[in-house]
Amino acid sequence: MDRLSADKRKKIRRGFLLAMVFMLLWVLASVVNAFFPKRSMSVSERRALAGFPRITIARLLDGRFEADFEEYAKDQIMGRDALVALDAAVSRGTGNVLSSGVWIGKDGWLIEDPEIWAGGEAPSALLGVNRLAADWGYDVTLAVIPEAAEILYEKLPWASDGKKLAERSRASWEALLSEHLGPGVRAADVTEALRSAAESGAQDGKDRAKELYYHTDHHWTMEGARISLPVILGAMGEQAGSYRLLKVCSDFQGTLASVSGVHGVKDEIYVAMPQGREEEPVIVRVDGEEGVRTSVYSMEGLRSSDPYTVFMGGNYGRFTVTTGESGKGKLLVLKDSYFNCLLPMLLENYSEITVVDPRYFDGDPKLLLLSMQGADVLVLYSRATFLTDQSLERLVPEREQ
Amino acid sequence: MLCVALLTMAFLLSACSHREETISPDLQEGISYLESLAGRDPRDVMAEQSRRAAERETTVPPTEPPTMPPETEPVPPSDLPPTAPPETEPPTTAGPSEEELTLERWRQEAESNNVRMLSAEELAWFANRLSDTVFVGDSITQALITDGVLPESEVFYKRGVILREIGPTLDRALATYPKNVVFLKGLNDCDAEEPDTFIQRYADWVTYIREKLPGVNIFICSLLPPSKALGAVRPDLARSPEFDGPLKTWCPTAGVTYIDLHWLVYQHLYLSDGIHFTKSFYQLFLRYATICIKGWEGVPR
Repeated sequence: MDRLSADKRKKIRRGFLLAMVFMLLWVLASVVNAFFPKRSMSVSERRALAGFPRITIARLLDGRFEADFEEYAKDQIMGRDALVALDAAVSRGTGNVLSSGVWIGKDGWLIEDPEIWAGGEAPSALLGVNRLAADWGYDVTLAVIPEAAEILYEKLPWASDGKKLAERSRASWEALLSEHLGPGVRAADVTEALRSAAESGAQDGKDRAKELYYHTDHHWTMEGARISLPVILGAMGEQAGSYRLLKVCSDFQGTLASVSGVHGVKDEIYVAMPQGREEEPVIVRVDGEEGVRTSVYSMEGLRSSDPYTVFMGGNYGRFTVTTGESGKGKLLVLKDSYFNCLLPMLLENYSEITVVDPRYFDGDPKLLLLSMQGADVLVLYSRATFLTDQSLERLVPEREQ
Repeated sequence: MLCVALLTMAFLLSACSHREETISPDLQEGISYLESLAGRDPRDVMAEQSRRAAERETTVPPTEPPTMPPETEPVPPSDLPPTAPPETEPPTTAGPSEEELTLERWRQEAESNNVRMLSAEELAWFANRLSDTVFVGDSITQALITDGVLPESEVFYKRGVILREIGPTLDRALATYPKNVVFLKGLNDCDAEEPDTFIQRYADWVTYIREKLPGVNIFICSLLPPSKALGAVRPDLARSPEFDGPLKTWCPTAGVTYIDLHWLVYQHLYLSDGIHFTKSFYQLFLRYATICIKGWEGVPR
């Protein structure tokens, strides 16, 4: 056997040591990660993070435990936020313009890749809406807000083929309504109003108050809601008032920034003040909350790490707003978070507005719908949530005859 | 080494990340606007709502609740005088209204102890209709919950409470900022007060309520007597008319609506203790109280 030279032995020893160091670091990182404090929520992404999955024989055998553990490991790795940012930076550096489902657009725009209905069965949420009118006899107005990709397609990167993407999104939505919208449901289409505003050139960043969507968040802005207001209220036979927008935040970074890891532009948040007339006196009662509020805005929400929750402080199962408009009708709203910034501009039209977020409502759906007979109904969602939501249909049981 | 450096950097960034908030001068108008809205006193807001309602001359709850038609004793056939057939003439006065007919039907249901029970749908309607109303009292009020008539959010009670000590119960009710406060109390005060102090207690609480919630509507339900059987052995309770009579007289002078429930006094509507009432009683109470507080619109008959 040839004896190894001293150099070779040295190289083997060095390699062995390097391997041991990396193995040790790996083990150390795993041990530290195991004890690293786990988070239940990602504030920046506004979503719940996966917890440690349940261990059962069945789940182990059918692979569910392994799949859930993978989600848990991805969500709970230490330094997650920084690693996501690093991934995004590297991704951009190599010319990638789509990061975690978010298009990195022009002028600092982050635009979610839109949900597009693929045809076939109606989405669960639409089944619930149809049942509201057909079974429960409600007068229903459906307002599903198009995503930024459809309205601001000029801001999408070249690789997305933005105009075609927007056209596909629009066409699929129209086909869905044509095939599956039930009788007794009125669709309020705000696309034209938003497109007109987008085409007016106000999205070039010169007047931040005129932006229709946030650069870094999936929500529409107060301006987007204000532009859409006459269409939505008009569909319900109501008139829209005029409002002045006031800035309340200038450094908002939304969910898309966290999901994509791209932190560039800071967004501004505006609220709406009635123009030339007195503020509507409101009493707000939130289910499960002691006392009452006197505003549909939340200072606590504005000061929190998610300033978008300036609108009502976030989402609740149910809350009721009584106004000074006694003698006017009542409104039941079924919604997602898109509705929260529209609410301040509806107060003058109704004596009472009951707002229900089906994702968080834990009351008796049948009692809710029985007790609200006679109220108008507005269903307002973002397109993305409406196409994937299951909770709205669960809120509308079949009515026993 | 590069991996080690990246991991370390990621760890430090994650551990040290925080968000600073600054308020620049140009945000001051918007933030001040939000603070002015949040800082409003709910009482001032409710007073403003009432003022606007008055300006619009909307339907106000009737200060005089509908009067139940008096009971008519059927005349035995043998007492009827012989009469000639009446001449046919067109009626000169309109017949009873739908509301009057409904009230008469409710009275007959109470009299015959054959009360139509409200459906779940109807009870949900009432709960929603009275969502701005609170009922305050003792075990007589508690039965609104235990008999499944109204939700707990609208009913505030303390068993055995007398008027002198009803403050904490009342405060819990007022903390919900209702538009209507309804007192529904039993006989506990009959051996704790005299009629004049009884009225004064109510007067003090009415003043208290109006200071806390300007513009709120106040209703007081009649103090119903004990059953005949109980009254025979409890003269202290049987003197309830000495309290209720002055109460009925005083209420309009204080701008309070008196809800007269004496039309529901039938012995078969009492429970065996002679003080509390049956489910049938509360089924009719709910309907009648609602039209006294809110009017007839939409009320399930």
